[in-house]
Amino acid sequence: MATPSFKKPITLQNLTWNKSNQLNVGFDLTLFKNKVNLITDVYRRYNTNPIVSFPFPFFTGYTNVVYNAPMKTLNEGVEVQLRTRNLAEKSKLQWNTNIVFSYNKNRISELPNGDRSFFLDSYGYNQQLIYTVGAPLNGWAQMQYAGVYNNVNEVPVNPFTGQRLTYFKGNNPVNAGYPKWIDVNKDWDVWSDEDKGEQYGDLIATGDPNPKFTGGVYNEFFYKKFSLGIQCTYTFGRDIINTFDANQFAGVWNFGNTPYDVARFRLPDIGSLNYWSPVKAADPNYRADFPSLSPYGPNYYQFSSFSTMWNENGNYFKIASVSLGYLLPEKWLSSIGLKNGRIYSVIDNIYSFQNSKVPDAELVSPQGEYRGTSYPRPRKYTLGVEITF
Amino acid sequence: MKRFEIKRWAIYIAAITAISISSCKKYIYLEPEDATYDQVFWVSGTNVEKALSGAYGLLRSALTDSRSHFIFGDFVMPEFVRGSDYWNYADLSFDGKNHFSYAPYLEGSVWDWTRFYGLINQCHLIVENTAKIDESKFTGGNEQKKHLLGQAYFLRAYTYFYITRVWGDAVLTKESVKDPNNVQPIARSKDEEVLSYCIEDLLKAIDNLQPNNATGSSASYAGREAAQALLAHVYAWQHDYTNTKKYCDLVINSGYALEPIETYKNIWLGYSDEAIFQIQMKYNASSNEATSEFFNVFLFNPVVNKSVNSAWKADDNTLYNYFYLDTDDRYDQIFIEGQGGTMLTKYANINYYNPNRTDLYVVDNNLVLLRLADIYLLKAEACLKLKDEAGTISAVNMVRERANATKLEDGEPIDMETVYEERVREMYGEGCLAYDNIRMRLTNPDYAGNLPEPYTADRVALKGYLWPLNMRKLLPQDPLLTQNEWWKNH
Repeated sequence: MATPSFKKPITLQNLTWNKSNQLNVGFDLTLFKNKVNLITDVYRRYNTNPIVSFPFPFFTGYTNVVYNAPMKTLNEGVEVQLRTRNLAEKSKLQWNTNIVFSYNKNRISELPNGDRSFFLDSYGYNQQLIYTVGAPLNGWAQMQYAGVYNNVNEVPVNPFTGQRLTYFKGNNPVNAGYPKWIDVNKDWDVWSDEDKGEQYGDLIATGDPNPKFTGGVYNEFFYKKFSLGIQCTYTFGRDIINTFDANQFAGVWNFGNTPYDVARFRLPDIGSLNYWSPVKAADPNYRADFPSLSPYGPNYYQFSSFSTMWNENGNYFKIASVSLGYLLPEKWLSSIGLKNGRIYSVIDNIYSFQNSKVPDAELVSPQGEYRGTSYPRPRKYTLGVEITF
Repeated sequence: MKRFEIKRWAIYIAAITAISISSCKKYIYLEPEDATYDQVFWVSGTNVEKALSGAYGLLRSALTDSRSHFIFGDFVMPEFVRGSDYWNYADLSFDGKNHFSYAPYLEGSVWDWTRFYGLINQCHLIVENTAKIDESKFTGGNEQKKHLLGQAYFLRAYTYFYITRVWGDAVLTKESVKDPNNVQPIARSKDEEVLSYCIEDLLKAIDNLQPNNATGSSASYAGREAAQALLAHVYAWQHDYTNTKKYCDLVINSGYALEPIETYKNIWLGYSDEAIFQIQMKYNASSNEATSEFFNVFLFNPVVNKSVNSAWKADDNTLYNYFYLDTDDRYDQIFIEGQGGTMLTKYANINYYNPNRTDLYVVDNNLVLLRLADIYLLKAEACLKLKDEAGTISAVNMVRERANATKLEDGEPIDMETVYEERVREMYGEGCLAYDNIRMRLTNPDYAGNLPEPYTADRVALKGYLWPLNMRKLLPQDPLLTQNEWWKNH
């Protein structure tokens, strides 16, 4: 049998690099005899025609094309670099600081097909990505998770039918222990409703995986022959999804692929989790932090990152490395015929301050998912000798 | 610790160097590694045969996709009762008043014709390129070249006709995509234009194809009779019954024979003189053409280990209405009592790749798309419309005689319902009764005051028997596409 591969993207001969068009205003300032040095850069950059895979007209038989899509994203931001020498020139101890700070705002400014918004799936059964003009690239569309229904009286009841709110096309009347999902379109059922031809259903734009602020701080100290450098990096203003935990829970309680998923993801740790259970809920003042985990309970994909349950704050501040050095005295060196010598040690990946529960908030995909598929960064100790002949 | 670090780095560097040295040359000359391309492919008859079996394969996957062949042709009629696993089919069913615009999880198959356009493009490629290959490159010379070409014409016509019956007003392309950089949107064509293109293709197919009965070729490959039978169907769809009758007669007189009732199920086993065109899905230890995931929708315990909740059992009310009043040997041949309902067993020949793993079964049957009994009944329908009632009676009686059912008597009052009822008995579960319903009843002026459920005059006038298109997905690809009239607001 021989057929063209209609499902793979049809390729074009004239693909080119995507282009960017940038406007920059720079500003350099040096103060106090070179003690303070400030470089700022304000930019506005259009990225045009990225190479992406897009649906191809059905009547050709092919379904996808990889091409320079008529799509534009706008990045606006500031980059600041501040270098200071903090102590007097005569001081025996010297302290220099180098701060890099950048702010970026990312927005879609043009889309193919007359700027019509569209959804793309990200990473399996997860949240959808929504592309709409004015919104950030790779923004998410999800259902809103607002805690747990502790008892059945809290569930809204449709005053016209007397029926409780339902999830998943009316298949699951909401009960105690269910996650509280917001019925955005007020149709008394919470679902994405693409089957009804609705654009959004109960999905709303929720997270933005593009970091707003990124940068680093470097401090170095010199005292006599000793030197100490501390490098920190940070990222703020980014949302991430703990897809890894979501898959652990969904694998067991939604898809029931237990042996397979245990092998891939391990079983989730539920010991520390205040999940809803009928026994605990007998107390009228009980407040659960997590939906019910009944193995016989209904499956409406409640543990997948379809809802905002797994969204986390992706901010982090990391002490990336500390290095300590000592210059060997010249007296010793010249006696064995060396010009320069230095002993140093570096410790990498020392500590990270972060809100998120993922092992490393930096290891996320461009769409903001922590998938648990990349190796964790090891803490690394290096000891070295540097010599010049 | 540190020694370990160094060693690991050394290995990395060595590996990277090794890769880059060895790979440099390989990646400079870019050639498709595992795929062929047009210039080297279209050179011999053997390759045309490969392309053609690719086309048959595409037809098989298009029809089996989500079992859409049976959804379109049977599920929407009161033939089967869905098991509870098919909750998302509720609106599509007869009980759901054929509300085709709510098809959760089936949008990709029942609202989307993209897969059929892959097949059409494949036929375009075969037609365009085969003509350029010299006949000396075909082992069978010019005869074989024409026979291959004829099959491509046939498949193209089959596909456009299928689209016309399901969605109507196809987007008509007449050549393969040449310049992917410059694909212009195309509006839908009226059915008349699409069907006249089908007829044009089928006439060419009839010219080019050998008769299968003369060559002894399998019904899995279209022969001249298949093109004639399809042409009769295309004319009938247009209510051009003079031509329908003409082509039915050509098929009837071309040497096919009705399978005796004792071996009735051989029709779907691939050993019958009755099948005119079929999709090969028989078990073969070395191929994967047989599957469990298509025919098994009709099967449950005890034939396969599956609950009736995961199957479509036959609708007992319908069976009662059509089979009860008469002796008819077909019933015992094709229906059995299963656990929880009556089961259609036209496709119940179970086989196993590994006899020790009976849970991994396949259904070892063919999907018959055109067969002689169908053509007899089509002829009966045409004769009735041409006021040749004797012709109708004799054609219906051919089918009834084989079933050992009471024959119609000469001069007995008959109408379209007589022929339709015979079709229900004969063609149950073959993916065609829904189209028969449209052709013989819904679009038949004689039924205007008495439309079968759930249709109203309004719905028929706006072609509410066609399926809606997934505009959300398809419109961005073709801005000129329009939704079927009835589904714009239903």
